[in-house]
Amino acid sequence: MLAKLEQTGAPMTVANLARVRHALMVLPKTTRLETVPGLPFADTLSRALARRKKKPEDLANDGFASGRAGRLGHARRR
Amino acid sequence: MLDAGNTPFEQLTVVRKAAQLLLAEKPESLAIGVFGTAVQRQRAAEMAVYAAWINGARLPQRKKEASGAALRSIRLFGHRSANGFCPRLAVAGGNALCRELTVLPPNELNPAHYRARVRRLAREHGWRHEDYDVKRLRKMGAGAFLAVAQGSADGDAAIVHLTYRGRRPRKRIALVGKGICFDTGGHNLKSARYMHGMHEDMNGSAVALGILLAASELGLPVELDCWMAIAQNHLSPRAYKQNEVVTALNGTTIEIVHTDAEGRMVLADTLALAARAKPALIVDFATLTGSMHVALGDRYSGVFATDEDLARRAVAAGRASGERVCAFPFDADYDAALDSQIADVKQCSMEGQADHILATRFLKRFVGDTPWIHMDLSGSSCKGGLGAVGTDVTGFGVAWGVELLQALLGRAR
Repeated sequence: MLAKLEQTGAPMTVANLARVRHALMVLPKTTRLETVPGLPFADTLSRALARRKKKPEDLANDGFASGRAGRLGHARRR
Repeated sequence: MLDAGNTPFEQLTVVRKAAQLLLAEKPESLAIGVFGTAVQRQRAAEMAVYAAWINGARLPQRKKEASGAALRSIRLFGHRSANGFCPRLAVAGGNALCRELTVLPPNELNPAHYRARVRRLAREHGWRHEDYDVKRLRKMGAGAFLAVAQGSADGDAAIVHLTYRGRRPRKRIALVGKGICFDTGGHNLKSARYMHGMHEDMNGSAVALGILLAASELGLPVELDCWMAIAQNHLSPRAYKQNEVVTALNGTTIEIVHTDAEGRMVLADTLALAARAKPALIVDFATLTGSMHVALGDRYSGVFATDEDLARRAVAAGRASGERVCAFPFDADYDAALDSQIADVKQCSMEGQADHILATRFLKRFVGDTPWIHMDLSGSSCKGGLGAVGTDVTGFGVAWGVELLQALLGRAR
C-alpha cells in the first residue's frame, strides 16, 4: 500500500513546518538561497552551509537533513 | 536542489537521497514543499512524491522485531496536480509489486505460490488468466521449457498468460518475463557464492507483471499480454543434462551445452507462444547473463532490438524514466558460435565470449518476424539503490516499460 497523497497549492511556510516532524524541501538549483521566494528557514540553511564551507549549489549533488535549529547532516554518498 | 540541466536519473537520485534521510526514521507522514517557478515546482513535486511513494513502501521482512511501518501519508505544499500524479502512482505501485515479489524467499515464492499470487492479482484487476501447466506444455511439445521444469519434483512450473485489454486498444503488445524462482544451475551447479541470491532470478517476470499492473491502473489503450515463464532450475535425477537434444515448441532442436543457461530455455518456448498471437511488439525481461553484468555493471541494463527505431525508442524511454539502458548489437554472424553438429542450434557456447549477445541470437529464433526488444536486467539489483529507488532490489524495467508503452501509444506523460 502506497502512502496517501494530500496536496495544496499553498506554499510551505514556517507555520506549516512547526506542525510536521519530517519535511522535504525541493528547490531549483541556485547560487543564492535568498532568491528562492518563500523558502522557510533560508537564513538557517545559509548559515549552516557556510559553517560547512559549502555553497548552495552543492545541494544539487547531495541532500541535507536539518533540524529546525539548523543542525545539518549531510546525505551519505552512495 | 534540482538542476534542470541534469538528466532525470540524476535528478531522481538527488531527490531520493534527500528523501531517504527522512524516511530512514520511518515516519508515518512526510511533508514535501516545492519552490521556484510553476514549472520547477511541478517537476520537483512529481519527482519528490514519486520518490516518497517508492521509498516509503516497505519490502517484506521476516524479522522478529518489526522494523517500522510504511509511510502512510504525504502532504505536498506548493503544487497541486490535477490528476494526483496518477502516472507516477501507477509506476510506483508496479515497482513496489515487482520488488516485493523479488525479495520474497524461495520457500515462500515457489512456482505454486507465485502462480496462486498471480491468479489472485488477475481476479482483483480483471485480467484474463490462463495457465499452461506441465501437462499441457507436454502435449504442445514445449520441450525447451520442460527441459528445465522436469528437474523440479513438484511439477508446479507453468507458463502463465495474463491479458489486460484497455478501452479501444490501439496496439497489441506482449510482455514476457523469466520467472525462475530459484536457480541452482542444475547439473552444472553454481558455487555457493553465485547461488546466493538466486531467488531473485524470477525478477524479469515480476517486471512484466509490474508493467501490466501499472498499465492497467492507468487504463492505457492497449491490449497487453503478459507471459510469465515460472519454474525452478533444480538438480535431480530427472533434471536435464549436457548433450541432451530437446525440441522446442516451434520445432527447433537445441543441443544442451550448460544447464545453468536455463533462462533462455524457458524463454524460448514462452517467446514462441507470445509470437503466435502476432502482437505488434514483444518485449521480454530477464536476469539472463553474467556477461551483461560484466559489460555494464549494475547501473544500466542492456537492450537488444530488432530494428534501429525500436532501439532508439528503448534508449529514449530509459533516459526519460531514469532507468537507463544501453543498446547492444546482435548481428547474425554471431550465430557461428552456436552452430551444432547434432541439432539446429547450441543452447550457448562454452567459450564465454559475448554470452549476452549469443543468448539474444538464440532467443531471436523463437520470436520469428515479430518486432522485439529483449532486456537483459543487469540493473535488477544495485547495492545502495539506483535512481529513484533506495533498496538494493531496484524493480528496474517497470518505469522504463511504462514509459515505452506510453511513447508507443503516443501519450505524452
